[in-house]
Amino acid sequence: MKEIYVEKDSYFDSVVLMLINREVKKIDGISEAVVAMGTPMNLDLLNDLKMVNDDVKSATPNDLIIAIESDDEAILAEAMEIAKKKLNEKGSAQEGETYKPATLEAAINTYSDINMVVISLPGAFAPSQVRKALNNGRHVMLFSDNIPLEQEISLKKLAKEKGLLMMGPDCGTAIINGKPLCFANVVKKGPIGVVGASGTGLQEITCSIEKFGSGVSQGIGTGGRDLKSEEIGGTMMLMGIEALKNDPETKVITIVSKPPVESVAKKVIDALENSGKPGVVHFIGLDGKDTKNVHFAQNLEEAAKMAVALANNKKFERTLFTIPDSEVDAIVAKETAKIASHQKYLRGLYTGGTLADEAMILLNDSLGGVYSFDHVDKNFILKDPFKSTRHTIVDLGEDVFTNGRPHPMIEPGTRDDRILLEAKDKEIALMLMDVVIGYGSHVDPAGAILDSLKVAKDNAEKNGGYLSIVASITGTEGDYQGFADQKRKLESIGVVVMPSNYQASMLALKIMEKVGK
Amino acid sequence: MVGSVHTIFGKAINILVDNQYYTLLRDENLLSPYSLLVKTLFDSKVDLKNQLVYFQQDKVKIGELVEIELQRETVDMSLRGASETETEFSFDVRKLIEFISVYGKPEGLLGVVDRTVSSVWSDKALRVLGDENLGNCAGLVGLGIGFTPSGDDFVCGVLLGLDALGREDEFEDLVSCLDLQRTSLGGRSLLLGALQKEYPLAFRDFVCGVGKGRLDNKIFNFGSTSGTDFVSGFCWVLKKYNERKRR
Repeated sequence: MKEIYVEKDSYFDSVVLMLINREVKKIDGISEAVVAMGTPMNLDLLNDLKMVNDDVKSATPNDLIIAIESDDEAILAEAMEIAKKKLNEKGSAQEGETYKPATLEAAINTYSDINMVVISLPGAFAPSQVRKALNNGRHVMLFSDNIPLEQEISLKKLAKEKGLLMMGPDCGTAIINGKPLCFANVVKKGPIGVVGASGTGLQEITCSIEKFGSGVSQGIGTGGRDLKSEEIGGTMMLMGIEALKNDPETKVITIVSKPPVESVAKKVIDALENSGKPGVVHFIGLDGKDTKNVHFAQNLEEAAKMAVALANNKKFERTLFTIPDSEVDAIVAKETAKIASHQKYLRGLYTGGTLADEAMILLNDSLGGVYSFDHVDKNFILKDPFKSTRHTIVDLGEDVFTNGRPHPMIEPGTRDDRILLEAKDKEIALMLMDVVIGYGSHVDPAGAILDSLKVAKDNAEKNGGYLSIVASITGTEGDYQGFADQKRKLESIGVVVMPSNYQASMLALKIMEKVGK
Repeated sequence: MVGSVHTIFGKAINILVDNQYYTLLRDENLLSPYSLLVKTLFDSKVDLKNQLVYFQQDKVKIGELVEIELQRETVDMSLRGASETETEFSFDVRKLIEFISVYGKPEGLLGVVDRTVSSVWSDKALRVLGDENLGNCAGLVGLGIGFTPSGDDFVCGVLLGLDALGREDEFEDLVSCLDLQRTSLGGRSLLLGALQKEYPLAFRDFVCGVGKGRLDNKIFNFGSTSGTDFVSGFCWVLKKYNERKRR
C-alpha cells in the first residue's frame, strides 16, 4: 500500500530532501520512498512506481511530493509522520501555529520575563541584535561566528558595563540554571561551575562531572577568542568566574580553553586564585603549576575528576584509566591479536573540534607525528584534507568538510562517507572517534555510522587483518539519545567504547604501540 | 528591478523576478549563472520569505530593513573565462569513472555511470537514456530531487562536456531538444545559463582541472548531489565520445 502527500508551493533545500528520503528509507518495512518536487519527469517516475493520486496528477514543479510504499499500514503511517515532522523541523514557521515573535523587540515585549537571548544570525547582522538585547537588560548567548574582533570587544565592553553575560561569539554550548542551550547535555545540578572557551570541551567536562557522581551549577561559554586576544582580555571568562564566585550553589570553579595569550592567562588564574573557591584549570595542550587554590588538569576528563574531588573534599589521584589495568591489557591483547603486519596506521575521525585537538596532542609525539588539516607543524598538514596519509586525525566539523552539508554532529553522513573511504585503505589498523550526543546532535549518531563501521571491519578481515575501532561517547544517560543505548549499538559490532576521549586516545596509543611488533 | 524572496537556504537567498530566479550567494565557489555574489548573507533562520526585493546599482534591498551589498556584478562563467583554459582537452574517462565511484554520492544519478550503484532516479534515468542517443538525455530534465533536480545537473554536465570537446553541432542539437518548462525554477536558471555556455564556476573549474589531469573531489560538496550528478553527466558524454572515436 501507498501513502502520498503533496504540499503545494513548497520549496525545500535539497540537503533536507535527501536527509528525509534517507531517514524514511531506513525504516524497516518501507519498500520505497520518493521525496521530490513535482516536475513532469518526477511525476513520470511516480507513475512508473504506481505512486499516483489526483494530487500528484495536478502537482507542479513548485509542489513537494512525498510518496511512500509499505505492506504494513502502521509502518506507512509512522513513516509519513516522520517525513512530515522532518519537513517541519527544517522549514520556517508554518501557518496556524502559535504566535512566534518575528523581532527581538516583539519577543521581549511578549515574554517580559525572558532574561537571556540566544542569537544565531549571520555575523554581519548579529551585533545590532546583541546590543539591543544588552540594552534591554538581557544576557546574551551569541551562537553566530564571523563577528569582527572590534565588534566583539565593543559588545563585551557594553555587557560588562551592564553587568550582563555576552557568551560568544561562536558559543555553541552553555548550561544555565540547569537548562542546556544549543549543543549541550542533560547533566545533574551540582556544586561545580564551568566556564569554557571551547564547545565540545565544555560538553566533555560537564558530562564527565556527572560520570564521576557530581553535578553542574552553571556552564558558561565565552567564545573561542575570549582568552586568545589581548584586546578582549578574557572579559567574559573573568565575568564568568565572578558570577560563579558570587553563586552560592557553586563550590568549585573549573575553566577550560585552548591555549590563551600569557597576559590573559595570568589575569584569569589570578581571578580564580582570588575567588575564594577552589579552581581547576585546563588549557588544552598546556600544563601549569598548581597554587593554593588553583589546580591544573592535563586533560578534559581530569579537569572534571579534579573538580569532583575538590567538591567532595577528597584527594585527587591521577590515573591513566578508570577501568582496571588488567581489563585494559585484555582489550589491547584482543584488539592487536589479529592486526596484520601490513596494517600500520591510525585514523581519527572526529566531529568535535576540541576532542580532535585533545587526541591530536596526546598522540602526535608518541606516534612520531600525526597528520591533520591544521597541524602546527606544516610538515604534517594534510595536502588534501579529503585524503588521509599515514597517521591522520581530522575534525570533520571543519568548514572544508561541511561546505554544502550539515555539521557531522547534526548529520553523520559526512563521517559515514569518510569511514567508507578509509575502509578502502589496507594499511589502516585503528579508527579512533568521538560520538557526541545531547541537544543539537543527531537523533542516533552511533546508529547512523554502524553500517559503515561494519563495512570497514569486514574489509580489513577480507584483507587478512583486523580493524580496531576505539570510540568514546560525550553524553549522559539523560540525553534523549541515551548513553547506554548508543554504547550498546557501538559495542554490538565490536567497537571498544572507552569512558572518555582521553582514555580512548590513550588506549589507541597502547594498541598502536603494539602494531607491527 | 523589483522581485520577491522565494526561498532561503543555508547559503543562498533565491529571488524571483518575473518568473526568473536570481540567487544571492556569499561563497564564490557556489557562483552560478543568474547568481549574484554579495558581501554578507542572512541564513535560513531569518524569515524574509515573500519580502519585496529591490535591485539597486551596487546593492540589493530586502524589505524595509535589510540591505545587502553586491560584491561584483558580472563574472565570465564560460570555459573561455577560465584561468586555465586548455585548447586541446584530453580526458581519461576510465580514471574519471573510478574517481566518481569512490567520491560521488549515490542518491542521485551516479548509477548511470557506476552500475554498481542503484537508486530509483538512476534506474529511471537509464530507462530514459535507452540507446544512449545524445538527444535522449534531454528527457532527464526535471528528474530527481533538489533545488536543481539531478537530471538538470546531469544535462549541464553533458553540455559542458560537449562544449569542452568542441562538439558544436551536438551541443546545438541537444539545446534544441531541451524543454525548460519541465523543471523547477532553480533547474531552469542552471540550464538557461548552460545553453548560453555559462556554467556554475565549480563545474567549469572542475572540467578545466580534468583537462589538466587534476581530479578535485571538492566538486562533490556542491549542493547535495549536484556535483555528483554533474560529473556523472560529464562522464557519460565523454564515454560516449570515446566510444565514437573508437568506431
